[in-house]
Amino acid sequence: MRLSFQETRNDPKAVVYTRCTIDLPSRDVRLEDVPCRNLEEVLGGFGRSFQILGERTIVNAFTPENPLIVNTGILTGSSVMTGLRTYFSAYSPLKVSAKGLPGAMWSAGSDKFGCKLRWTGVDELILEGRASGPVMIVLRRGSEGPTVEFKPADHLLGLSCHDKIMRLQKDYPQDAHFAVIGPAGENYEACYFAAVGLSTENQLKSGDDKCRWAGRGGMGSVMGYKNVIAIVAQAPDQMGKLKPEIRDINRESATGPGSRKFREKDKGGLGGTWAHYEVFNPNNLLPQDNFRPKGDDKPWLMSRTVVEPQFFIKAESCYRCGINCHKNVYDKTAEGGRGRFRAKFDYEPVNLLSTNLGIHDPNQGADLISLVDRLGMDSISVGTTIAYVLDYNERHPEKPLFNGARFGDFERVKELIEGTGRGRYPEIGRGVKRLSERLGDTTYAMQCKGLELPAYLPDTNPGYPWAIAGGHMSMATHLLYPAERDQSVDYWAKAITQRGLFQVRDDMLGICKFTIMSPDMAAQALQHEVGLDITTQELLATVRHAYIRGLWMERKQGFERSEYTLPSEVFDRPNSKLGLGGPFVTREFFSALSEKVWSVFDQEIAAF
Amino acid sequence: MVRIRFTTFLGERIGGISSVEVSATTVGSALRALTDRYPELARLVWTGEDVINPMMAVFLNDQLVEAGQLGTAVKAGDEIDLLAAVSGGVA
Repeated sequence: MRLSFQETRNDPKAVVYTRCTIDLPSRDVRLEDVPCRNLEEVLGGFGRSFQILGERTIVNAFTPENPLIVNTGILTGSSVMTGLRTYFSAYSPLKVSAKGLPGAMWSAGSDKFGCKLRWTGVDELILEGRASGPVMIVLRRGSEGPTVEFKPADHLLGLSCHDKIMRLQKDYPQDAHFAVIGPAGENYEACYFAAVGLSTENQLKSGDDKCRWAGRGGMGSVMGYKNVIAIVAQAPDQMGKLKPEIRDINRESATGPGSRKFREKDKGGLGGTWAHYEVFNPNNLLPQDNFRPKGDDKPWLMSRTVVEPQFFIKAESCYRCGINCHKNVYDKTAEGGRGRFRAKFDYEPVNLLSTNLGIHDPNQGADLISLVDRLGMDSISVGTTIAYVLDYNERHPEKPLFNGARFGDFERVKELIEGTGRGRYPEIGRGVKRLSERLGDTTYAMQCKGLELPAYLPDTNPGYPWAIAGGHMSMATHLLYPAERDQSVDYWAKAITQRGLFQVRDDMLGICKFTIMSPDMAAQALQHEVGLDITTQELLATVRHAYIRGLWMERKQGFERSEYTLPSEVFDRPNSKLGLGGPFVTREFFSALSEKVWSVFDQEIAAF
Repeated sequence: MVRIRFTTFLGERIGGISSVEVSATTVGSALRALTDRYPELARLVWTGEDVINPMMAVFLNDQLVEAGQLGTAVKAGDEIDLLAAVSGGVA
């Protein structure tokens, strides 16, 4: 990417990025310098990729016409802490309209792969068509620009994401990072929620299974369809000199109030997302047995307070990040020291692969998280879909599904997960929407627009349907009810149309949402790091425009108003155990909310 | 004066500011001064008379202040951080 803002404060044309388009069937490679057309393209991430996807009408995610776009944000690979994000964008096999058309998605992952991609000289990789056999793409920084090489990848087939990365590290021991799919991605026809695993510095040094993930929306399945098993980005580090202003911003990100919740308690923090158990559990807000808290004390057994004495927990981080949000769980040795690495305990996988499946044993939870990682699946989608299966089996004991697993049945749940990742259970692997529709039992299928819900109750988040790329990653309304307890339609309409949508900002910039960077600080980071003179208001307007484009693209792919709704049990079977004033999202409430939200968004969508 | 810092979650409700300075003798009175100045934040900070919202976390100079410790004394130059105790979403 070249930036030359000398004469113009923020003219998009002053930013030229390098696009590498690969036609997989012919292996034709086209490298080109592309001037930006607008500020969305300048900021990058889905702001760029959605403009490419929006120009196409795709009828099936698994068609040659559906590109897989791998790109970065303007701050990826920069001195700005957490400027590490890589974005994978495509029409998703999972997100689907009632008309059967796929919706556009992106998914983001951290650590150093994105930096290495930028440092090869490629800002954007577009994979067109489908390779005839399993292939690996090797991008390098050459003396005259990026180079591209194709290598057979048959030897990697069947290996876990981690084992693939370890194998690749032997072949590319210097200056390389890797993006891979696991067995689930190889079995893309039977698993629509495969993730892309990104290698990490910690993983390459320790040999532990510590990938980062672009998990949501089945971007690993699209990569599997394309027969691309791995992407190697090999280039020397090119981190720029740290400017004093950026040093101050980084210090604020690492030590300010925004990241406190992710830091360790002895570092002035709350202990990571896992600590949600401490505040949700007393109010019965933890998803349990398919998003239906029971008011008992079982969820507490997976809290950090209970788990910590049994294990050795070490807070670790992505490349150059000072927040240390990774709560890595190791066996404890007889002397109390660090033993074998077990799993990374984040709130989402812990809840959706244990408590929400009726499993309350941290050893079992660690095993399931590790298994999902090895197979390369999105823990949210697989966990939520299997919770539905268990719920179905409880409700229909006379005709149970698959192996008849029930809540708490660890061995059978493990078998379901293994079978899903290996392609033996395509009805699970194609997601809860399709499964529940086939069974004619959709009311407790926890999904919106085909994407499984993350670990926040839909009873407390009527904003879910307006997320454009997964429940909590693209609409920040999931925590409002616990925090403010407001049950008015006006409050929620404002929350969705004026605040929640700005959650997508960092999926353009290339930074992690855990910095909780204020809009002003983000604008300052852009100015000092890359010379982009953008006001806070201009930044917010650009992010809003990109979000509205996402809604417009959903409409283009056939999503209708009636599809912007919640699982119907939220309306029809309110959970009396719910804390904080009890259930409030009735059909009448949601209908009034929907009217207000669309009265705002419709006008903006019409401009596209 | 005591400085209270907060995240965008609170700041966006009061014009995007990220910190304020208040005159106070305890953590509780500092928070009360904040919400007196910005009533928009009251529902986020309090769930009742002098009862802190359990979904919020308060730190005094890097030390977590529990709900029952709002009477902790503060002095000029102290820094209070106020944030939502829950958040999520990372890859």
